Amino acid sequence: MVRILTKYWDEKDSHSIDVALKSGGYQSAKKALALRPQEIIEEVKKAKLRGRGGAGFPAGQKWSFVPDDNKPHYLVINADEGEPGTFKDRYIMERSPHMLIEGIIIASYAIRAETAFVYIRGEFQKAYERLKSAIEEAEQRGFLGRGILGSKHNLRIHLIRGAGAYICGEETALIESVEGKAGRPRLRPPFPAVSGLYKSPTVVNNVETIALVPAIFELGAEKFLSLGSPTDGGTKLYCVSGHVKKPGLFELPMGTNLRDIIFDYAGGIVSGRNLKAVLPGGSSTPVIKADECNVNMDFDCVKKIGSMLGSGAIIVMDDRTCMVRALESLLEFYADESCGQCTPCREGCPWIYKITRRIEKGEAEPKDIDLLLEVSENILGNTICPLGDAAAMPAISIVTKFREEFEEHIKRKGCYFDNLPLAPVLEGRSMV
Amino acid sequence: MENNTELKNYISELKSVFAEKSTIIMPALRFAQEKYGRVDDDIIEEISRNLNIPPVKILSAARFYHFFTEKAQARYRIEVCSSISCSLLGSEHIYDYLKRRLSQPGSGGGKNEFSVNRVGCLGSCGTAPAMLINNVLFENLNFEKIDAIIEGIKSGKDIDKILG
Ligand SMILES: Cc1cc2nc3c(=O)[nH]c(=O)nc-3n(C[C@H](O)[C@H](O)[C@H](O)COP(=O)(O)O)c2cc1C
Ligand code: SF4
Ligand code: FES
Repeated sequence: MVRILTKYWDEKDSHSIDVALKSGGYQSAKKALALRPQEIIEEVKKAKLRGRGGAGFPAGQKWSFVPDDNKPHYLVINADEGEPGTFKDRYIMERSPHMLIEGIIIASYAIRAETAFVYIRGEFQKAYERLKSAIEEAEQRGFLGRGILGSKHNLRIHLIRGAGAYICGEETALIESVEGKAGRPRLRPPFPAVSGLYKSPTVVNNVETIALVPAIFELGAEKFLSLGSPTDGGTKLYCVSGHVKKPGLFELPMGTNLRDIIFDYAGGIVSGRNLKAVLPGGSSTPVIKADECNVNMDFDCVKKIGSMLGSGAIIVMDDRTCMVRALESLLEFYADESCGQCTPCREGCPWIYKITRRIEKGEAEPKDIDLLLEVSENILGNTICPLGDAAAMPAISIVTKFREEFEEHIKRKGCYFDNLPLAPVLEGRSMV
Repeated sequence: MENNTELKNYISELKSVFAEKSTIIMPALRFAQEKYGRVDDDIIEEISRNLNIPPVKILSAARFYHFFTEKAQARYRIEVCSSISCSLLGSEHIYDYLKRRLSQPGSGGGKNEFSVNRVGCLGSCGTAPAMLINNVLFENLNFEKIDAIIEGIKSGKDIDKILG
């Protein structure tokens, strides 16, 4: 099986430039810099590389929106990884930072940007240090700076560290933060590609998206596409967490079947238990039940069954999981992280959290279930950024698909599931 | 004022790095928080003066982010993940255990030595339950590990070397 991002993770000091160079690092940048920017964009389009940050927007298409003007352009890498269940970008930066830097070289050249920012989550210490020294190594070898690899391309990469606000993962909030402001998402249009950082054309891409770019030029667009599914090229780093025997990261062809990921790669459900439900793409994606898990994990297929691939964070819940308790945990996160500028999100997220909490504690009335649904539906689609939706979508899907558990909590005046034990015995760990 | 020399030097260094001075605000705030343990009005004014940006702009950014605090924080800030993947593996128990253990007489050290908080996902969901102490990550937690970590801190070990 072809591995791209994790290709040399098994090697000692996989983050060093020596390991990267030994495995062909910076050769793709060399090839790409010999092309014209427009040709790079065409290749990336042909490879059908879709954004790994959550929305699955085609990367080549995003780059092509950047106008042909004389303003400075910016590339911004979203390394704010914060969606519960997601833990891939941190490992990419810790273990193959040069792949990301090489991707940044190619992408910045394609959009004619000479300055790139990596906005890295404030809590990530090791990833920050690794990326920082990788940038220094690359500068020393002439892969960054002026006239990179004999081309006319100049590039400087800056690292900006976040400061504990999840909402800064949203691309316009992130831009505000780089501009030294509170991370409150902007109204669109204008889109960042036209007016982003310092009002200049800006492309924001996820770490995994950009780290995949060199492979397109190493393998060729056709080969890259053929690694994944017909509408969605390349490999995907799936993050598997929750009640599986071997939680961890798995780099697999985009579109690998969810059942195979859970039962083969992640070793199946912890001993003696059965699968109950899965959040297939992170904590903001609609829940799917055990019998819906026969799905290929690419953007279009997961959408067809009413959920989303999101960040590829597969959160697995076994049959002892209380779905009310699970929803309570999900909503607590979003209620805390709302930036507060839209009323439906600012008021609605804490409200649905409190209703769910009441149900879990046995202090709710039967009409609260419909109230929970009604408030959630009123958040949906009525906000500036999708954070409100991120809370409302799992709420609606969990209440709808597991309504009897909510009713039972109200009838029995509280939670009737066993208190979850600490870390059920894990029988192994995957490659992380 | 004179004591903020490190911050002043840091800002003047960054002026040669960043073309837009507004981008210096976040790094400067972080530097101050790490160096002086807080971001109070004095710090805000210092940054404002050095960047020639109105203090209210610095202030409204500073107060938005959890990292920047007006008052000095505890010496050891323990942050236990309470998000879904950790919660599924019983992170509440870790949190309760820590709270209990550090509230026993003679275990918590002096005042403002430890703080224990629940926080959102730490990006370590595959090695849940997870927590941070002063930004150092601890994964695959259980009660024995918590004991070892607390003992390690009390015996004066560096946080990032406690578990070897
Ligand atoms: C509340 C919220 C949080 C987000 N957090 C992240 C994040 O941590 N990392 C990320 O890459 N994208 C995140 N996104 C998506 C970004 O807004 C943006 O779509 C993405 O960075 C684009 O990169 P891509 O096209 O390569 O996927 C978030 C979106 C929202 C609404
Ligand atoms: S939806 Fe929520 S987080 Fe997004 S802009 Fe509105 S209030 Fe802020
Ligand atoms: S849910 Fe705890 S680290 Fe992600």
